[in-house]
Amino acid sequence: MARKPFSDNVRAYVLNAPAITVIALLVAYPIGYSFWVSLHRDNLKQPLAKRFIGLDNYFSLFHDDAFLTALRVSALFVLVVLGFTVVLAMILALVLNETFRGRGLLLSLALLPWAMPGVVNGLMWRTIFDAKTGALNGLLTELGLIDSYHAWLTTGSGAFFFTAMAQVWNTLPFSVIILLAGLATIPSELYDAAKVDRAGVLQRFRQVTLPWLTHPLLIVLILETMNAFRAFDTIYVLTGGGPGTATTTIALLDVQTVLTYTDFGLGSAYAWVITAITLLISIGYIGLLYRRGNFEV
Amino acid sequence: MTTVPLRYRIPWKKIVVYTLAVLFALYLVLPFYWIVAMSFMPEADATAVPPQWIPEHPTLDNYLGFVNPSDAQALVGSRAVEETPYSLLNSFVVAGSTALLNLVLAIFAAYSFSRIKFRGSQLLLILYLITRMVPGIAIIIPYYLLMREFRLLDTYLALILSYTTFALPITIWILKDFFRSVPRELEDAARVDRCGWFRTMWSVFLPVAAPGLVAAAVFSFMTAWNEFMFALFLTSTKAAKTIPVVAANFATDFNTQYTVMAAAGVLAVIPPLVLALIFQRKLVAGMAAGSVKG
Amino acid sequence: MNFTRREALKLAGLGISTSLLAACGNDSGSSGDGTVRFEGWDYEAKLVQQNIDRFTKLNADIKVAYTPITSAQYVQKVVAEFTGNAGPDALYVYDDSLVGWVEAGYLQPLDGLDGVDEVYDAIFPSNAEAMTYKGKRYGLPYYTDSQCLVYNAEILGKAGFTAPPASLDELEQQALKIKSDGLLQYPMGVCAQLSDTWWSWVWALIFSSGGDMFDKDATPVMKSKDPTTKNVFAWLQSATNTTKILDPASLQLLPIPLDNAMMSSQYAFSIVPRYALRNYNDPAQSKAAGKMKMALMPGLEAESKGTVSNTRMYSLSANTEVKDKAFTLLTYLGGYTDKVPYTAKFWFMQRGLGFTFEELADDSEVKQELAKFADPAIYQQLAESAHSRNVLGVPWYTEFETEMHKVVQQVMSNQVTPDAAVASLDKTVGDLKKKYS
Repeated sequence: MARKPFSDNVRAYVLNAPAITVIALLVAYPIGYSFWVSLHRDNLKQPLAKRFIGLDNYFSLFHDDAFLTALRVSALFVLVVLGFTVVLAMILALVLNETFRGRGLLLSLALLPWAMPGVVNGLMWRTIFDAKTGALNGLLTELGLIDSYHAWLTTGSGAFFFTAMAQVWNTLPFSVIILLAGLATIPSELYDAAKVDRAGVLQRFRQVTLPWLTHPLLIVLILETMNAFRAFDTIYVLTGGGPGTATTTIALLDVQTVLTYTDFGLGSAYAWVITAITLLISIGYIGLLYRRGNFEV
Repeated sequence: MTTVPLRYRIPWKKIVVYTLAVLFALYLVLPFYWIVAMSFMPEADATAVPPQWIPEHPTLDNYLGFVNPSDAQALVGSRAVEETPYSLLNSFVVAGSTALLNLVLAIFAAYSFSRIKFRGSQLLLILYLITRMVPGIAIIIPYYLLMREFRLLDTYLALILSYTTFALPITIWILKDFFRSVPRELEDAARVDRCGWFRTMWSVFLPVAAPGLVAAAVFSFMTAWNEFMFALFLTSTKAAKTIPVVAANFATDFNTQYTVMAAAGVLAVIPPLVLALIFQRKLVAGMAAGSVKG
Repeated sequence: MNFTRREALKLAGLGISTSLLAACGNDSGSSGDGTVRFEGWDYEAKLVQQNIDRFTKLNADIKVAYTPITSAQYVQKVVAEFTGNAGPDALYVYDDSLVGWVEAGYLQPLDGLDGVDEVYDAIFPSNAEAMTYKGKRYGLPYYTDSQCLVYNAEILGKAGFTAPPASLDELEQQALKIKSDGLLQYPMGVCAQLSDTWWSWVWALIFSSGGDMFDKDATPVMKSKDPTTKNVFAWLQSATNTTKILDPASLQLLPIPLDNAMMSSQYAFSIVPRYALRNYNDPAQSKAAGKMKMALMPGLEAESKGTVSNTRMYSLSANTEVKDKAFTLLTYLGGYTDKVPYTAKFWFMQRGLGFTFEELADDSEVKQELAKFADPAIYQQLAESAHSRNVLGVPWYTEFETEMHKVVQQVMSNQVTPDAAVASLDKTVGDLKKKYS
C-alpha cells in the first residue's frame, strides 16, 4: 500500500471516532474484563476464593467432559444449521430472482421469520412439536404418515434435529435477502452468453452465478456461523438443552456455567474459546473464497 | 433447443419455479399460521386432537385480555399478560432508537471505509467484527456492572446502548459496501457548487444511499427487537422490559395458557414485520450493493 | 471534500452528547429514600402485592417496592444483582440456594432479632433446620411442602382399583391394567423438562424407597453403599421404555402443562407437591375436581418410607441500609402479626401452600379448607414422614441438581444405563468438591 497523505488517515479516524468511542466505552471494557476474568478462578458465590490462575481455566478444558460434549454438539449444530440455511436460502433466493406471479408475496413471507424473536420462535415450535397436541403430529397423522402421536423432542437425535430446524427457520430470511441482493447484481448478459455456449442450468449456476455470489456468500457464512455458535434463545425455550445433553450447545453450557453455576472464570474461558473458533472459521472462509488473493474489505 | 416446435415445449422452468415457490410459501407461513390460528381459539380448542386448522369457535378473548387483564384473564391472572402491552411499547422505542443511533454512528464510519484509503482500515473493519464474535454471556456481567455504575439499570438507554454496540459492526459492513457503489461524481458535482461536507452528505449522498440506510436500519431494528439475554438482566419492571423477556415468562409462568401465549407471540411479530414489509423493496436493493464485489 | 474545523467540532459535539446521554440515567437503583426493596419469584405476584399493600397500610411509615422476577431466572438474576451490588433489601430464598448465598455474603443472620426465636420454636423442626446454616438462622418461613402421589380415583375405579398403589411395583401393575383396558396410553407423567427448578419427584422416589443419594456428611453414596438411586433409575428406565407406563413426553413437561394434563384427566398418576391438589380439586379450574386424591409416596419396597420436603423462606440482605424496616416486613410475611402467623395462613387459605407453623394444623378455618382438597390424615402423614435433602448444606448443590436432571433425562431416554448414571453422578460430586475446595 502506498503511503497516504497524513490528513487522509486523520480524517478517516475522525469519521470512525464516534463508532470507536461507543464501542470502546461500552464493550471494550467488558470484553477486556471477561478475558481478564478467564485467567482467574472466579466463582461469584465465592468472592473470597478469587485468585489469578493464569491459563488454568483453558488447560482444564481438555479434560472437561461437559465442555467437550457441548463442543461436539455445537459443531454438529453449526454444520446442520449452516448447511440447511445456505442451501434453502440459495434455492429460495434463486426462485425469488425469477419473475413470476406472487413473487412480491413470497418475498414478504420470506421476511416473516426475521421478525420473530428467538424466544417467540422457540415457543412457537414448542406448540408445533408438542407430543400431545402439536400441529406437526396432527398434520402427519391426517396425512397418514404416522399412526399415533410422537414425542418428537424426547429422543436425543430427534430433539437435536428439530431444534436445528427451528433455528434454520428463524435465521433463513437474512441469508435470503443477502443472496437475493447479490443475484440482483449479476448482469443478465452473462447468462445470455452462457446460454449461447449451450451451458446447462447447473453449469450456468457454477460458472456464472456462484462466482458472482462469493461476497454475499462470505457474509452469509460468517454471520450464520457466528449466529449458530451463539444460538441460545430458541434452544433454551424449546428443550433447555435436553434430553440429557443432546442439545446442550456450547452457548447454552456457557450461560449455565456463568449464571447457574456462577463460575464466571470458567464461563469466560468458554466464551473466549467460542470467539477464537468463530474467528478461525471466518478466516478460513475468507481464505477459501478469496484464494486468488483479491480480498478487499 | 430452438429446433423443437414451440407448441410441444413443456415449460419446465415455470413448473419448477412455481412448485418451489408454493413449497417455500407453505414452509414459511404454516408455522406462523398455526400460532395465529391458536391465538383466535379458546384454550380447549387449541389443544384439541386432531388440531382445528381453522378455529371453530373464533374468539378475540386472548387479545382483549391484554387490554383488560382483570376481565377475560381473571382466572389466568398472569403477570406476563399484564406486561405484554408495555413490553411491546418498550421494544418499539428501544428498537427504533437503536436503529437511529446506529445509523448516525455507522454512516460516518462506513463513509470512511468507502471513500478514504487509510492505514489500518482492514484491521479496523475486522476489529469491529471481532467485537461481535465474543458471545454475549461473557460480557453480560461486566456490562451489568457498567450500567449499574451509570445508574442505567431498568432504563431504555441501557438497552439502546448495548444493542447499538451489537448491531454497529454489521451495520458498518453493510453500509460501507453500499456507499462504495454510490458514484463519486455526485459528491464532486456538489463540491463544485461549494457545498460543505455535511451539506453534501445530507442533501446529495444520503438520499442516493437511502436503500442502504434502510437495510442497515431494519437490520439493527431486528437485532434490538429480538435480543433476549441482555434485556433479561438489564431490565426488571415494565418500565423497560422488552417483549422477548415477557415472552420467555410465558414459557415458565405458573398460569399461562397456550392461546394467550400465541396471541402475545403474534403481537411480538407484527411491528417488525410491518416495518420490513414497508421497506421491502429498498431492503433488497440496499443489501444488493454490498454484494457487488466479486 | 475538505474537512473544515466546524465539521470537526460538530463530530466532537456528537461524541460529547452521546456521553452526556449516558450520564443521565435513573436513580431508582439505590434506596436513598428508605424504601424497602423486596424481590421474589413471580408465583401469584398479584396476591403478593395485595398482601404487601395490606402491610403498608398497617405500617404507614414503611414503603415497599416489590419486584417479582420470572421464576425460571430468579436465582440467576438475584446473583447478578448481588454481584453488581444492586441486591434487594429483603427477598425470597430457596432452601436449595441458601448455603451458596450465605457463603457468597448476600444474606445476614437473623439471630437475636425480635421474635425470631418465637418463630423457630413454633415451626416444624425440619423447616427450622432447613433455614439454619452453621448454627445461624437466615430466614423466616414462606411455606413448606412435601411431595405426594396424586391419582385420579375415577380412572383407577374404571380399571377396577379402589385403593392407590402402596409401592412402585403396585403402581406399575395398576398402570399396566389402565393401559391394557385402553383407558390411557400413558397412565403416568412427571415434569422432566430441563429448567432451573428442582426435580422434587426424583428425590421423592428415592426417599420413599428408603434410600438417599448422600450420607449425612454430604458424601455421595449413590454409587457405593446405597443402591436405591440406581434401582429407582432402573425403574424409571423400564417404566419409560419397557412397560411404557410413564409418558416419554414427560421430558418436555414443565409444571404448568403437567397441571393442565392432570386437571383434564390425561394422566392417572403423577408426583406433585401437596398444594397442587388444591387446584386439581377446584371445580372453577379443573375438570377433574373431586376425583383427584392424595396418597403416600410409593417406593421400591412394599411400604412407603417417606418423602421429601422443601422450605421456602424470606431473608434479609447483608448490605441493606433499611434493616429495621426490612425486618418488619419480614416479620409480617414470615412471622407473627398480632399473635397469628398471618401470611402463612393467608397462603394456605388462598393457594393451599403448606404451612410451617405447627399450630395452624389445629386452626378450624385451615381444617375446613384442607378438607376441600385432601384427606387430612394422609396430608398429616406426609408432613410427618417427609424430610429435607441433607445435601443442602453444600455450596455446590445447584450444580449437582442441574447435572442430576440431565442424567435422569438420559436414563429416561435410554441413553445411559442406571449403573453409568450413578457413576456419572458420583463423578460430578467429586469434580464439584474439588472445584469448591
